[in-house]
Amino acid sequence: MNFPRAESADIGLLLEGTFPYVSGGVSSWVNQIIRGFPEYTFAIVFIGSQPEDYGKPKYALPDNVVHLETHYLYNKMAAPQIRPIHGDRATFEQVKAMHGHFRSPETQGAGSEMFRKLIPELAPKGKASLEAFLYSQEAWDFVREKYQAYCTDPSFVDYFWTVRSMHAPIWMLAEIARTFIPVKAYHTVSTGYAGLLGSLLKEQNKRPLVLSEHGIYTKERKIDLFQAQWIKDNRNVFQRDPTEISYFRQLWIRFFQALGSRCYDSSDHIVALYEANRLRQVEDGAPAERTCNIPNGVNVPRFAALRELRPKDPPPILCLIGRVVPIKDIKTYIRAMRTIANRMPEAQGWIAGPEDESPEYVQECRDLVDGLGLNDNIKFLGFQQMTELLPKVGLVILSSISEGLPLVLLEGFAAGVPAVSTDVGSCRQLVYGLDEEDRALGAAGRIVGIADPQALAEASLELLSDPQVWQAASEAGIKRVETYYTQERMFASYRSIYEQVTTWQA
Amino acid sequence: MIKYVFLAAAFLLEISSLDYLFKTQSGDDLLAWCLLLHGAGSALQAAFIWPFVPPTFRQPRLPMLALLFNFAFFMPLIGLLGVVIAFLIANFRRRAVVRHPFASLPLPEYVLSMRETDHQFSQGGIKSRLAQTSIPTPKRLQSLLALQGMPARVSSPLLQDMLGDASDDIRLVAYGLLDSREKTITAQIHQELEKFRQAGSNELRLICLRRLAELYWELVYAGLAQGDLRTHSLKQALSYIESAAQLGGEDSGLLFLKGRIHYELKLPDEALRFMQQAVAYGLPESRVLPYITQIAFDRKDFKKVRELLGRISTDQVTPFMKSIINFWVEPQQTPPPAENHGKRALI
Repeated sequence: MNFPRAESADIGLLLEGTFPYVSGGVSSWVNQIIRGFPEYTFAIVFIGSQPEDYGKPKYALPDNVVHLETHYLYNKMAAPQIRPIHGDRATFEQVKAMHGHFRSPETQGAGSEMFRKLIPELAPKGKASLEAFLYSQEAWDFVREKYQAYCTDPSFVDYFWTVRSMHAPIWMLAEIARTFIPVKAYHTVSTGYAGLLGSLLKEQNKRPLVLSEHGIYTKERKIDLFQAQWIKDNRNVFQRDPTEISYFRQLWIRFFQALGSRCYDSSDHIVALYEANRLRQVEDGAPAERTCNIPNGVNVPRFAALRELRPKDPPPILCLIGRVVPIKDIKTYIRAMRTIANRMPEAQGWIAGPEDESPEYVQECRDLVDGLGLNDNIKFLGFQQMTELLPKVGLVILSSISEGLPLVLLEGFAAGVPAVSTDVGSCRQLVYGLDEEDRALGAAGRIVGIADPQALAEASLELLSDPQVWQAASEAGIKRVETYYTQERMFASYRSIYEQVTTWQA
Repeated sequence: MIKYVFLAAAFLLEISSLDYLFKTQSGDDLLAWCLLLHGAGSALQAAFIWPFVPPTFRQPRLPMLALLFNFAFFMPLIGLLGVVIAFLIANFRRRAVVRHPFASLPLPEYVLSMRETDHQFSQGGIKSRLAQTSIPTPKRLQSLLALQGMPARVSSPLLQDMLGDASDDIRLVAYGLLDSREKTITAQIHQELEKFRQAGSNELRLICLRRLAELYWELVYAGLAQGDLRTHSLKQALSYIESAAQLGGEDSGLLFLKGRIHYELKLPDEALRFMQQAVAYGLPESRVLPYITQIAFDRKDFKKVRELLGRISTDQVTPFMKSIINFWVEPQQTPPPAENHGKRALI
């Protein structure tokens, strides 16, 4: 694939596992931002797991994307030739002290300071090079010492390889940072690996870094890691303490927390979508004075035109719009459809979203539809154009277990379609309103608990079976989105940030 | 091949060194030349011998080469001859030494734990810790993770409660735990259905049907299905039992399960009937007594409760159940609150 290349650009966008290869909320947002700022040129670094995990780009590249490079973390790195080397004792003492700081949340700041000093040493001939990490006696002694001091898992071999594979991407990112084209400012859309890359770039080139976080990366990773089956636990029945998670799990969680705090530490602007997430960022170490909220916004006129196309009474059609992946908890929606179909046999449940990301989960969902005898009531539509879909549906459903500020709800509202959503992310604020004034606009649908199919069904039936209640919700949604969640508001906030960072002088 | 070149060169060097030595003139220069040539010759001899050295003696390499050189230098001719003989003997003797790849080691110390762990939770402890939102989230998360080690039937209701928790982390972990349990059972159901489709004989089909009924029951018993889905699972289990019965596979176990399902479906009369049938088919009475007692209690037939509980041997029950039995069965001064003189024989 031929990607555009350039010598320099205005904004360097650092994207991990999203635009342009993955469709979804964050990717559409990135697309919206790039197209919303034609006056700036963008250079994109895409960081993925391995090329096989992604198909063709899902988005056409806007014209103002002048540079795109892709990097894959699981790709085998050209490891330096194996030969024993001497590590620099002083540097390793520093690394040791830095890890000591990373162990406790209070001293993360001191750890960040030490990391900053180590960044230039990550280069191939540096004192903290990949070679020194892999082949020096000092690195080996360090790993051994830490194992003896802290590891509660009996296997040293697993510990050793966990440490190695966990740290390897750091040098890969350092390499990307060294070769990236010069830009006026960096903008990362998550912490994690992309966030670390942002931090490395900022410290290396002394250009401002903006962080926009849709979910809380560290938190999502943590939840994943709690469940992950690939992490070993070799403790025997006597060693196992049921209240303590396996040491390797703890290591991974701490690793991502450290990545997150590096990024918060380096960012000049830390943007959350809503207040609860902003507070969470501060709790995780983001300096409060650099944080702010910028909610998502939608192109209201584009969706307002759809209101005319709608039938008078609410059509008994529920639609979940989103990728068919576990985090959307589509199974709860399918289960709720069982109850809905029992009481409203003509009701239809649509699932509109790409199904290529997690084929296993798609199969589980189809099996569930089968098992519950819902083949006549549920339809998997695949990816759909929102403008064609929204006029036909009566309710937008969101059964996710985790969300940020979902665009689909806003787009639904703008088109006059109320929503039933789980109580995640900022959904409560979108449906019921945030402050006094906002709440006065009324409820644009209903909020139910996560993984509660019965409640989801009851709430949907309440809205669908009473045209008056439905109409009121529809109007409240339209008013709310027109007042608080327009694209113009969002662009205005980002414009002021972009102006600040691109004109910043070192 | 190269080693023979070494040998020839060594020979030439030694000859020329001897030549210097026996020259009629004398002087420091000549001796130095002689020693230098002899030294070079000795080095070449050591190099010549090296390939013949048995591999076990080649480490450490440098000191070993130095030793060979010394023999050649300080004891010309005899030295290397001696070395060759020494190697021959050593090589011969080495065969006599049997190397054991596995040696026996002393038993390791019996380590109970790598670190002292303090077990601070009991079941009640976890419940109250989870319910108190004032406790910091990491601590509550720990309690939540401890639920993993408990039977699903006990922990599922607690996990369900946690789905509504204010903390995102707690909610998501609780969801993950419930989801993975549900997923395990659903996956088993699908496996069993597949097996059923492929089963070639009625016997195999019966095994599958029984497993399917049990798995659907497990979804309910483990607290993983609520509301309409719970009813759906129960009915599904029943339908598999019916299919098994049609294949002539109805036995005491399935009848007992049928009784329990009917009880959960709030059909106590049918539940009782199937439990009785199960006993008639040979199920020990002690298995059904707790359920029948529960039905009697629901009907407020307390006299019956006392009579039925009296039949349960206190040796076979948990301490918790034991105290219940003791409460009901021990002779009391006052009669229990209400009595129903109706049906006498429930079984």
